[in-house]
Amino acid sequence: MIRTSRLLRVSRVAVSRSRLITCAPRSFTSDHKPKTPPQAPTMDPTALRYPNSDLSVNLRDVAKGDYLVPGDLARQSPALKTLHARLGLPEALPLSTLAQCLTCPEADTVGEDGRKLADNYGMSVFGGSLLKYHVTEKFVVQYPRLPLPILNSLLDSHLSLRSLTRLAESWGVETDRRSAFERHMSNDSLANTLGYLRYKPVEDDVSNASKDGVFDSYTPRSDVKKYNQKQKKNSQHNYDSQVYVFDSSAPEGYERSAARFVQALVAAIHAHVSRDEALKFIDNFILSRAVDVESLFSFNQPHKEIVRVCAREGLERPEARLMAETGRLSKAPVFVVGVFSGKHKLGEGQGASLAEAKIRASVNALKGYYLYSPIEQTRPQEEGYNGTFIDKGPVVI
Amino acid sequence: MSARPAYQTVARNLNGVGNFVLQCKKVTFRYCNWGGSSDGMRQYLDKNLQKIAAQNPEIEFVAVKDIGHPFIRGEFVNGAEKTICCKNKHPRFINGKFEMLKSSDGAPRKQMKSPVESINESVRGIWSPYHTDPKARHKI
Repeated sequence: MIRTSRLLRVSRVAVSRSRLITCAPRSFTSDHKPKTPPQAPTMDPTALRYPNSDLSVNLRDVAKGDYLVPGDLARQSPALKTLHARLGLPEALPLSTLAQCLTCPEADTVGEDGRKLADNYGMSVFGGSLLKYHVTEKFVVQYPRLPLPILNSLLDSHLSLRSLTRLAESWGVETDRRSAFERHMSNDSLANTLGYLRYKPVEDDVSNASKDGVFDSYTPRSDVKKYNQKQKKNSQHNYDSQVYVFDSSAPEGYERSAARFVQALVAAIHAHVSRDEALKFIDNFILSRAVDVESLFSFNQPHKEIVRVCAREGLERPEARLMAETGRLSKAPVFVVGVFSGKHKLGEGQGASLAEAKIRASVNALKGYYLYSPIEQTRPQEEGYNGTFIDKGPVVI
Repeated sequence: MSARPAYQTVARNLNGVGNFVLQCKKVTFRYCNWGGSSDGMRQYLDKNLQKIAAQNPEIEFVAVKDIGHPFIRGEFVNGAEKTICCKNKHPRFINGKFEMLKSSDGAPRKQMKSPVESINESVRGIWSPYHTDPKARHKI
């Protein structure tokens, strides 16, 4: 953000030049609350802390702020207003709540009068649950036969911290991770940071980010990298028990904070407008993204599995039949194999050997079974809901 | 468990599906109060700045008075920025450049080789020689 004395900023409401130029930097106070002399919060510390639960394992020492951003102050922030307009958020969602969504609990947001801003912690927990519920419901209705590990992987691709962070990035959410001291040294008031995602970076990552020559000093890419590597290392053990939860081991960095903003925004729409509007927001922004579900599958013994599936469904035992071939004795043979249950072809695959073609055909048949999607899909919260298909569950090999 | 996820993936953002987010987030106009090369920019800002700011609430507008030739700079959600020199330019030219920045996505310009580029597979699939009638197949 350019801030010079010769700067003239024009936004939708604040177009009056004289008003902009004469607008002196104001202290962070509100009219609806009595002014108190600057002092540190003196309330009971145990009452101020977050509940000591698994969700807040690294938030135990964070004091809870309770100070809401006054509306007239929020309306002066061009970054807030443009973000509101860019996302097409409903008018009923006030800018001050949007500013609260952008404030993470770890961020140093103690204002000039010693009070700390209300943060997005509670909203993000609620919004995260709403997101998880709605997205799960969508995919369970859409792909009723999806095995649980695949379903969890699909949910993760939409709801993981990394995924929600990418979403927030695509909205152009800018960040400000300065502490109150740094803000003071650059002669900037808290009000000027309202439209930015405010969070506390991880100490190591700040220095690494500057060393790596990251293009935006406010966006610590090294946070993201570190987290990805960690995910990969642990991922082998997590497949079966993988359920989307708040991952308290994630760094208190950019990735976690940007995702929290998205979750909090869903909760804010729910609170200020309506549940329907929040669900519409999830449909439009979260569920409109693309994942190739077919590519998520991997099978250990595909032919054995399709045999088990057919046995359970009361179909004839499937067998692989050669449908076409070329160049059996050449360097590049091609075999086309179909998996048939009686007269019915379940799947087909081609490969350079008979075994490969058979495996591909079985995988193709299994994907055809697991990716069944009903033509009429009604979700329980829609009008005219007339039940949904419920599968028997996975087969045991 | 039988089927396992092959890898962890992240959903691809498809801007325009479900919702459209304008990719241009900030436009800066620089002008000089004294220099003649800023003549067009000054006229443009005088007449149009308030109007376009009201018409485009998604974009943050900044007018900077500084010495030197005028320019117009767009900043985009992907972190890129594009700067266009407006030295001695007519307001019409500046308006055209503003519209260009507004409709741009911040990616470098590239030549489109075909009129339509799809990210999805063809519904019909590709032709296969092994699925034609065996009698009609070419015999080697």
